[in-house]
Amino acid sequence: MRLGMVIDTRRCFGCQTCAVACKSANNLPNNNWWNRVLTEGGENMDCPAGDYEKGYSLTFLPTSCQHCDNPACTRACPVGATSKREDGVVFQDYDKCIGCRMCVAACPYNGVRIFNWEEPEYYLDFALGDKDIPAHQKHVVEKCTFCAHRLAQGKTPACMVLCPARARFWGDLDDPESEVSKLINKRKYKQLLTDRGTNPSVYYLV
Amino acid sequence: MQKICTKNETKSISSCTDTNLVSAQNEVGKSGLTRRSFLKTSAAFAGAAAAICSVGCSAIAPGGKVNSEAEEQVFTGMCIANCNGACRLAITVREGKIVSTTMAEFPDPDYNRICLKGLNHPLRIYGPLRLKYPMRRVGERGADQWEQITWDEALTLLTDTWENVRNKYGASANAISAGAVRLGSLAPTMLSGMIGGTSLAASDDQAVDYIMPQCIGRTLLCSGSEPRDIKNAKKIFSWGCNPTNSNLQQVHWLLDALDNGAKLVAVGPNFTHMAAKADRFIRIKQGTDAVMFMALSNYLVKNDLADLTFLAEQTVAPFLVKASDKTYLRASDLGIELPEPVINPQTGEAIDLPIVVGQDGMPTVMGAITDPKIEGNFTFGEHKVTTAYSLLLDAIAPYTLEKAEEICGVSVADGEWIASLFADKEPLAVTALPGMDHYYNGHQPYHAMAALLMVSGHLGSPGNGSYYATYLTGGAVNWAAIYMPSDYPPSPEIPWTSLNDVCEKKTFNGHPQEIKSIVIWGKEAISGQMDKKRLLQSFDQMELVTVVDLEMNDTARYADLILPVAYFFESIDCAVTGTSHSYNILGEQAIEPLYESLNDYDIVVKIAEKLGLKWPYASKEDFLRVGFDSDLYKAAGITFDKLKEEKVMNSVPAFMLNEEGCLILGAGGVYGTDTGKAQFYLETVEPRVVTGIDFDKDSVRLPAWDPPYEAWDESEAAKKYSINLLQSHSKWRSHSTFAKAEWLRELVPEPVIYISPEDAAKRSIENGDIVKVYNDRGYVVIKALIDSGIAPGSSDLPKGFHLTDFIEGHYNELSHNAFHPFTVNNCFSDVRIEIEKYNGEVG
Repeated sequence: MRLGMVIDTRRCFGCQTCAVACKSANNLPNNNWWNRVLTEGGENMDCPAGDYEKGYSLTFLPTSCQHCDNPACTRACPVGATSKREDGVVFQDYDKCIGCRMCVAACPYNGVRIFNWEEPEYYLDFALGDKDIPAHQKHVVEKCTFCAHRLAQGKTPACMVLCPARARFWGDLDDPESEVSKLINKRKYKQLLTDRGTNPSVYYLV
Repeated sequence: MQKICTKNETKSISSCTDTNLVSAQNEVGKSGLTRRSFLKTSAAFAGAAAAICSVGCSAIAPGGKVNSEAEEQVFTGMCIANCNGACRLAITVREGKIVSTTMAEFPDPDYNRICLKGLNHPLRIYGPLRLKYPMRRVGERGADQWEQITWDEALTLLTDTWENVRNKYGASANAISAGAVRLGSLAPTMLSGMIGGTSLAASDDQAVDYIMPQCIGRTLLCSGSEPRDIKNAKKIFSWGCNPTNSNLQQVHWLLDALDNGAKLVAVGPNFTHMAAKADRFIRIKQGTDAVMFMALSNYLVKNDLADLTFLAEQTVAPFLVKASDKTYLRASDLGIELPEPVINPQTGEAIDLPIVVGQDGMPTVMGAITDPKIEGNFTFGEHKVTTAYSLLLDAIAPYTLEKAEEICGVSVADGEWIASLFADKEPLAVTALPGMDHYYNGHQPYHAMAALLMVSGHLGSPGNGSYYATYLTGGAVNWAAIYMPSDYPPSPEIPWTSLNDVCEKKTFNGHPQEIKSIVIWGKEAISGQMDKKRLLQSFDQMELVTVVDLEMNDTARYADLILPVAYFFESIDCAVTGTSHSYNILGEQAIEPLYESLNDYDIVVKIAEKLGLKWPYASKEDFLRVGFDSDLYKAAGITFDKLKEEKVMNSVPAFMLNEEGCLILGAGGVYGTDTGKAQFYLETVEPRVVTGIDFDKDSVRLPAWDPPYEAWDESEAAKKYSINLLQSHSKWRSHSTFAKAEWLRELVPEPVIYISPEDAAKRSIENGDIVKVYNDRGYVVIKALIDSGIAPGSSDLPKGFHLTDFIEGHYNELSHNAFHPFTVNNCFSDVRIEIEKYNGEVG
């Protein structure tokens, strides 16, 4: 089994709902974002490149841990805190993490891992989001877990509930009958930084 | 340290994209940290954090510890943000607190919806802005100094003021502004009737809302087909709007149409996220869309591409307009008596049918022949008449594609290309949200667009027509019981647009009128009305400004009395209107009202008790039951008690839907207009609200164009100010709702104005500079971002941030209060400004 995501960049319009759904479900500490929708366009967020005469270019790239089939982070972690599960999820165990950040350095995808330099802070004095999430800790690295706590209950990751553009798809990439497999068989896609040999489990339809 | 590309960066975050992802610099490795030395470093960080937090972080507690043993309960409800999305929510309660609001399923998953905003409710429910108890102002107005008072003290102050004002100025000097999308929250709309006061009526999106039903009629839902029908279109125009920001729940159907091979054309002044999905983006000058629509109609007619059959069968084209009074020649004018009169089902009276002319030149009543003439001048007896279509041809004759190029800035070649799409018979839809409405001439583009859809025959069948998706009005609701209860007749209305005029001139519609107290119930007037400085001067004349709301917003800060309302999920209610789908949604009570807040209905009951007035309903649920007591609800099988069981139900009776389950406007060639036809000609012209301001009625009968009030190079304002200011909707807020939601503010920390590279260069403004935006009325100091998608001479300041978010001033100091007397509508984007680099200090 290789759980993965397919994101249709032709449909994504950069609304950020998936990013906030992740923030909410995982009760992410202030200023932590595991899933970010990047602008591929001009200098400013949400603005295009180009001009009226030559034409504009503006697309969006929802970016989180790529849950690589051949992850660089797991090899870098000295204590086995980051590991690839049998279902393909690259998991981060806060209790094992010593905060060395070797995984951050090894991961070729900037910004998908966050190190909690401080005690995590929140806007409210009680926990929001799902109840089965591991408590956030100071001095550990955290990142997208494909909502492992939700997978355990047979649910999809929070960012899949629900993409307003219907641009996000979820399933088992090893199952040729799954929606995600069918999509990448049918459509042109890209993976990020294929030259790093990581074989990400997040596919972007282009 | 590794660059973490999130949030607070209005600058580019594209350095994190796949094209140039760089391998993280192994700073950790370079510094040679061992586990032990690293932990030492960590301890130092911890100490610093603790020291900082000892002085100002009392509200920030370790929220990360979750009680995984805790029971959870999930309730149903609806997101209320006046965005039309009307998402059904799953509201999860754990240990007595709402911990998340997420998507809840509709019976038809096509309607499932949630957005980045609706996920933030817990932050608002428990956030620092939440109003906790009744408060009375103790400092200067706007100084944000308050004392807590009891509900009894608060309502005594309110009702005593009403009595004093009534004695001094008459009962109509007490004004109430109330409106809602939930049935139970409509109770406050009865208040003005109860006290004999004045109802202050909404004046937003009213140009489109007024003209479109007159042109194409309305279904039970809205003046357009059900929004999801757009997926049946093969050609789609996103015109003068940006659905990806302002109506994002309709976009997935538009994307479905594209997946099915439809062509999308975005037309507007600025490049939008919708334009990013389009096959073509065509730039048009603000406030000139009516010219383009008329020129396209003209081109189709001149090139024999008009759909004459559609015009003859489904529009008022063949009707004969009398030269004498501009009304239609009707059967009674010619003394024709029908053996069996046609009865209007709504009034029960016989219809005096319009006359049409057959190919033989003989007059006959509408419907008697299938191929009436649609062009020509005729004389029948004393009546000189012209067909409505001939009048349309005269009206659009001056507007050629060459003229459109001159006025709109759209090249003749692009005009011809657009015209070729309209000429094609494949289904064609125009998504035109109220973006073009926010101008003094805001009715004109929609009137001309409707005429173009008629000339090209793109109306009345699946995939065809305009999808402006304005409010669905809860057409089935028993409004009479709510607005006209037997004890309290409806009160006279004054539109919000006229409030400042009334306060300054002390007259309305030619009669003496004062407004000396105002209750603003659930409306953010300062960020959502025009000309903030004049509005505050109007407040200054009031003996009491009362705000009834959830949060300390800008309007509440200027109040004298604040009453706290319970949150949407703190009392039972039903969402019945203000939605862009046909479902009614039960709003369950998930938690008790927080602090001393009360739900809207209970506040009205308390006020009635205080006034010693009879309240006609036994309970809130009784009130809700009455609201559902209508023939149309019966036809749809809905009662309040049934909705309590099923929680979400379709309010449209099945017989109104087509085979695909869609409600199509004009299905069968019948339109919900005065004539039952699609109307490019308006026989009856009345102002939306009688303000006493005259206008030439003949000037609005047919498509026409007048230049914008300010946002036009030859306007009076343009002599001093060279840039148009657009107040767009942002995806981050719904008007001012969610403006302070902390998660969203991590991503968009501050208000900005987007300006074109050309205008920035002329003023030596660089990306991220602080600028002063000003005109005669006021100013705002704000960060400028350079966006090549903005048309030169235009600018965009997305609305909704609170006063406290701006460095100085506010965007609504720049807007003006002028309005067209036909539509009586706010013109948010018909504003001229200048921008300069700010030289003051920014604290």
